Parts: sequence; structure tokens; C-alpha cells
Amino acid sequence: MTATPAWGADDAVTHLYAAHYRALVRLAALLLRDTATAEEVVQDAFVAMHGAWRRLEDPDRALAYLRQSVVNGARSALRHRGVVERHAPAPLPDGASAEHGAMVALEHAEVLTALRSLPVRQREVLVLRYYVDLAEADIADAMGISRGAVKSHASRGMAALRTTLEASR
Amino acid sequence: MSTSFGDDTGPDDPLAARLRDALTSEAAMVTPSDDGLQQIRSGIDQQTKRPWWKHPATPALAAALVLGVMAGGVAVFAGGDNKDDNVVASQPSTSTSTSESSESAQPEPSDPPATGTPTPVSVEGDVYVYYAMDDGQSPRLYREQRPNPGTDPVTAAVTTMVTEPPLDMDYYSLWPKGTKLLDESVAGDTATVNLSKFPTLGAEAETAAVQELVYTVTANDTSVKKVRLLVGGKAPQSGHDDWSKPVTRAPMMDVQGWIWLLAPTEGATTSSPVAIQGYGTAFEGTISWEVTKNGVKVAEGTTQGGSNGEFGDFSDTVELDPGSYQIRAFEASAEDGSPIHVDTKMFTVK
Repeated sequence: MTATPAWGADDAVTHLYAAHYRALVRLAALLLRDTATAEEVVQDAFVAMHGAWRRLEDPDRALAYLRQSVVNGARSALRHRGVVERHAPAPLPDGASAEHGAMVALEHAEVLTALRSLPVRQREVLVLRYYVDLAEADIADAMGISRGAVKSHASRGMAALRTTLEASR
Repeated sequence: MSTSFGDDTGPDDPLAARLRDALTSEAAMVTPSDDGLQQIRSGIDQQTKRPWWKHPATPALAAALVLGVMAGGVAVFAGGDNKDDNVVASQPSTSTSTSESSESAQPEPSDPPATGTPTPVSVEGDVYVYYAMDDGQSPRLYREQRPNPGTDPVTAAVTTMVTEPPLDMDYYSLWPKGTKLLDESVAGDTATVNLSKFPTLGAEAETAAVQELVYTVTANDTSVKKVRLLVGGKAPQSGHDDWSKPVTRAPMMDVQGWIWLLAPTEGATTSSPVAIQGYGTAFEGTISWEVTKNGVKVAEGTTQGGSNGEFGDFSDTVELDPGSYQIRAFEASAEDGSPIHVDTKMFTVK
């Protein structure tokens, strides 16, 4: 028997939107390099969370659920983009980072370029760890993988970054 | 902030600091537009009209993600509405157990059948029985067509579900061994099903077991929209959920196997060319199939099923020499091409 949630699903959406929407869009944008798609992914996650609220019932679990949905949605969007590009080989708009590239310190651009060359899961782990500051268990949860896998993606990702950045010196 | 991490990259690693700075500065340049909440609310309003699910999910996450998610289902009925002599599979027409449906303000859908949804084969004298198979983390539902020994279809289907093993040995019933159907009756759109046992499973599997029952009952009597479950004449005792109110079908995306291979059926003897038929959803609708003989691949192909959260029929044909074969239908994972959401059947070509 479940306790009555303090919030209804609509309230949950409103509160969590106010507290986390911007951060989640930024997370998705880091994974996707495209703010418009990032917003769509996050909006879909909130719609899903509204439907799942009956089972989530608490804001912490709802936030974990939103993160899962965002990571997953971003990955799907990337996959879809890959397919679309193969079928329509138009130049990919480079998204926020390139537009603002000139304004970003060269240092940042270099690190981000190296990050983007990593396999998708390594990149996800590093973004969740160093941007969202999630603990290993929460990263595992957000990505639907084991803690051991988080660990190995993280250390491989960091090793690859190190190699790339040193090679470009 | 330094969270304890199991790899050898400590918080003082200069690379970690560089990465953190770069990400933070990149993120700060992203400013969401002002209409996010409005977009979300309109998405929620549309839930009852079409599935929100725009991106097919990867299996492990999908299993975790879709469990609680309500999507707007569509209703499709085939074979007329004479409830006693047609076997009809209905797609979910509403989204969740009714216990708190007022909270989510889901109106009863009255949409006509959507295009592109399957028209299930109506077979005189057979019933549809749902079983489960694990796909990643959660059990998902698969359907078999089984003979009706001559009672009313719902009784026959539920009895088969709790007492007969599935034809496909990869499947199983989520109901405990020795469960018996004590009584079944229909009043209005609600069936009351009284079983002798209730599963003692985790929350997810328990929900799946109840949905196994609800899908089975509603597939065999389209006038039934809700199932009131009794165990030994009383509402079931569950540590996970309140099953005292009638339960409707959960959305297919939440509970149904992603890819069903419906023909050839398990153990079937058929002639070449062999008709491959199924029902499912995959990324871009691409369903792959593969036939093996003694573990050696002898034929393969791809065909179109449903995509973007819609399930759809798929079919293909394959010419085979006489012999015994295994066929599997699956989605090739976008990650590495490995088969996911696999359904397998053994069959013989005469």
C-alpha cells in the first residue's frame, strides 16, 4: 500500500521543472551539442515523469528518473542523427560549442573536442561525473549500467582524453 | 566536489579539473527557451492521443524507464464485437491501473482504431494466452495462440495461462505453479477473476503478472476493459501495490515484448517458402531475422515493423530445404549490431 504523495503529478512537474529544467537541458546539450534537441529530450522526459509519478512519488526518485530519461533520450537522438546523416549527408550544424567557439578559451575547446571523440558511453560517464557531479552509483543508475562498467568507462575515457590532449601539444 | 570514485583518477587530477571547467563553461552558454513548461504540459495533454515515446530505448534502460510510463494507447478491434465467438486481441485502450487514475486525469479514450495497428488473426476455437520472457531487466509479455477446450474463451485462456506451460520454452507464466482459476465473471466492462494464488515476486514482476492476466482476459473478450483480481475470494495481499480496484491494460510499451515472432509457431511443421510473421517495434522499424540449422546460419533478412513507440506487423518469406530449423527475430542494437529483443522459434520444413 502506497503512501499518498504530497504532490500530484502536475505539481511534481511544476516543482521539478523550476528546480531542474535548466540543468537537465544543459546536461542534454553537453551530450548532444544541440540545444533545441536537448530541450525536446528534456521535455519528453518530463512528460514521461508525469506519467510515472504514481510510482515515483518522491522528488529524488523523480529526478533520478528524469536523468535516466535524458541520458537515454540523448543517446537515441544521437543514434537517430547518425542514421539521418548517413541517409542525407548534409553538413551537421555544429551546435552551441562551435558557434561560441571563438569566445571559449582555447583550452576549453581543446578539452571538449577531445571529449567528443570518445565513445558515447565514456562521454556520458565523464559528463555525468564532472558536470553533474554524480556519484558512481547514481551514474550507474542514470545510464542503466553496473558500477563496474561506470568505473571502467570513466578510467578508459580519462586515459583516452589524456592521450589525445598530450598528442595535440 | 569530490565524490569517491573507484578509478585511479582522483579529484586533484589536473585533467579532471580541466574537464570540469570546460564542461561548466560550455553548459553555461546553453540557455533554455522560456516555453519549456508549456511544451511539457501540451505533451502531457497529448499523452492520451498518441504515445509520447519518440525515441526507442536501449534495452536495459528501456526496461527501467518504461515501467511507470503512461502512454496513450489506441484501441483496435478485429473480428466483430460478438464477444463469445471471436478471438480478438485488443490493444491497450487506457493507460494504467485505475487506482489513482484521477490524479493523472486520463480521460477514457474514445479514439477510433488508429491506422497501422495490426488486425490480429481471428481463429475460431483458439484463445490468446500471454506469457512472460525476461528482456534485460524486466519480464515482458508475449502471446501464444492456444486451443480452447470448449469453455468460454476467458476461462479457457486464463486456465491455460496458469496451468499449461507455454509452447515456447523461453517463455513462462508469472503465476505460481499450482495456481487455479476458481471463478470468473463479467459485469459491464469489468471481469472479476478469482485465482487460488498470487505471485510473490518483486514489484516489477508482480505488476507484470497482473498485466499478464489483464492482457489475457481482455484479449479474449473485447467488452472487458478492466479486471478485478481476487485471490481466494479477497483482494490480493501485496507488499508493493494496491490491487483492490479493477486494473486496465498498461500501455504496450510498458509491458509487451518488443518483438514477437508469431509464425512459424514453436514446433510447427510447415512447407517452403516459409512465411515469417510477427508484431513488434524497433529502431526505425527495422526488424532483423535469421534462420539457423544446427547452429549454422542459412538465411537472414530484414523487414519493417513498427517504430517510434508504435508496434506494427512485420512479415517476410524464406525458402528452405526440408529439415529442422531455428529462427530468431530481433533488433540489431545501434550500439554494436548485436541482437536485442530476440524471440526464437524452432520449426520443421517438410
